[in-house]
Amino acid sequence: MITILGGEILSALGEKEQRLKHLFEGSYKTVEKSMNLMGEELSFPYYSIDEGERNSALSIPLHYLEDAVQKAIDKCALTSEELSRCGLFVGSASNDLSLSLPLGKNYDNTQLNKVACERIGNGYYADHLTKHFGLHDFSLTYNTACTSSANALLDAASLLEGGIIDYALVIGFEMFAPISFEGFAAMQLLSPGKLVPFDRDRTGIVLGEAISALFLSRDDVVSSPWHFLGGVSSCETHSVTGANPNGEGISQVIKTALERTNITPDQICGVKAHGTASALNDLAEINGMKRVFSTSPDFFSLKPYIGHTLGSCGSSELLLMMECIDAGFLPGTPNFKNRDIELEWTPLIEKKSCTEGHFLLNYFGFGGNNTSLVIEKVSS
Amino acid sequence: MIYVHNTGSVTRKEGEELDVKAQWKTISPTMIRRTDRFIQLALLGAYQAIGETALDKDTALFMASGQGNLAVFKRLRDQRYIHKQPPKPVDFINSLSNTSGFYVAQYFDLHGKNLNVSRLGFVAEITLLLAQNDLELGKEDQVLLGGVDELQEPATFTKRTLGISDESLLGEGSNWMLLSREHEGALATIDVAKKKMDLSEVKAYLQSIDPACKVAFGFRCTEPMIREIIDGEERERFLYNEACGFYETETLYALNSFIKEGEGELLFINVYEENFRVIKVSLLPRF
Repeated sequence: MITILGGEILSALGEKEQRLKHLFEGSYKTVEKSMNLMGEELSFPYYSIDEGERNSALSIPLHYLEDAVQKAIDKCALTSEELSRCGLFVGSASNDLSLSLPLGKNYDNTQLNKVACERIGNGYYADHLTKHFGLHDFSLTYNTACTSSANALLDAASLLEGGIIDYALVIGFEMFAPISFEGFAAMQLLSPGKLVPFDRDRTGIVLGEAISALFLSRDDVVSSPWHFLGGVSSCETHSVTGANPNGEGISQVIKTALERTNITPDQICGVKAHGTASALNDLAEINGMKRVFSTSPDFFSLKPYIGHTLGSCGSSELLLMMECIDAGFLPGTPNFKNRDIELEWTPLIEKKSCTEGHFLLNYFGFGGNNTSLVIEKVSS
Repeated sequence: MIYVHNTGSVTRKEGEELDVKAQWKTISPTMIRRTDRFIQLALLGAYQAIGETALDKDTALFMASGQGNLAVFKRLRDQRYIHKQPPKPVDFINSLSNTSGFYVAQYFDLHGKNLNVSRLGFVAEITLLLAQNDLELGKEDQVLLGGVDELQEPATFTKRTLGISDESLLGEGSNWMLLSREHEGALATIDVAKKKMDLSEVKAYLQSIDPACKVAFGFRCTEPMIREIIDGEERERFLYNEACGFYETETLYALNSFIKEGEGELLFINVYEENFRVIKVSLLPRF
């Protein structure tokens, strides 16, 4: 049995006490970020870790990562010896940004000296953290768009099950990135206003940044009331930018995840939906769930609290959900007002009492990536 | 232990030409418009391994890369910092996700797990270990595993960002293998050592195996290091290096080359920052 030991998250919700207050009250904070797109000045809301004071356009924010991991280590009270048996699984849709600094410096290919000693690459962050914290040699960095850290979780569990490692550190990592911000804007996927998942008047995604660090283990090593039962990752080749709106691919991944973990739909106490608030993604997710659940389960989206944190959302939203349930509730979905008659089903608007049970977590992304995870919390 | 059923490689070294687009166009003229050279390189390598064979739809796809799609980032950099333009949607999509894996899955009609993973060193070794673990646990029945790295010009800059010497010859490649739990029809077995080793451990390991087992070394292994590891043993070396320059996933080229041209068994030894990892390949009788 894979155990989830807990962790830490840096997000727009702040420290734990503050973020639980936000999640309990259904409140959140955004900042405005502007850009010049084809000569037009545009402004979009954004969920920032430190309220937009930092310009991380071309900097590698290692201290944020180190901070999150150190806090997670402290929470889980892990020793150096235990960390040496801990593999590292980093999920980020923008890990290639480690290249932006040298590539940006070198944009005219005339500044070779400045990067002469800089070892770069997509595994840069994992390499740094492994050395900094004395982790086990097994590390991988995942870039599967919005399912990156969810897939990292699945593989972490697999490596634990295989006995190759005894602990796993899963990191979801996404910081403000101008190219990403402008890319989504150019594709007209950004909402100019609030993030309103599953609402009739939803207008698109609002991006956010988050770094989460989450430890897993096995019950023969460390017990925990939280268990990672398993999940499924699959590739839906309908479109490179999204799931089939008829829900076929999404229903398949949910069904298989439940089958593989021996959980029936009626055992699910709550669904952490992907809930991006983009028109077709929300439609695809509801249609997918309708093919599996005979009646609407209690489902909610955490994106109105921290934004769409892309590759980080796998572990970040898992941690937030665990914190809510540890505090005795399933969170509501802020901003939801109007039922969409095409979707029919509506998310939890108000928080609901919940302390244990089985939970489904959905993640879907560009590149045909669909991932569903199943976890449980048992009485301590 | 896992079984290799198919292999396929595309590789070139610095100074040679490889018109990936033209080659891929002869195979799939329709799958060109939204793909860039990196994606086409991935497709071309996977095609060398699989061809027109229909794979089980649940086959997982693990694609590893040391550097990822660097070229798309250069284009995005130029669009933003030089041309002051927003990202072109196609480039943005190709940079954001494992788009190469998407197109490989689409071409071969695969719906299983689709991973895009990277690492600074040992990226092929660790990805193979991941596949071995999933196959041995029964989480997957079959994995199409590939390593793709594209040579970026100027080579001097790339050598420095890869952390290799200016004298080294760079290369690029797309090397794929179809791995399975199924013995029947397999070309070879692969056994990826689960732990890293230090120099003394790798020497001891080499001395413990059949003297007939050949040995090959990764590009980061220097000749003095190789002499130290072999330690006077008369063991035949499998020299794959002449056909390919350095790229992070060249391990897969070495293994594929041995499976295609070699005989008996091979121990592949690679090094990264004074740590060693080894992979043993045993060819199976071919009928």
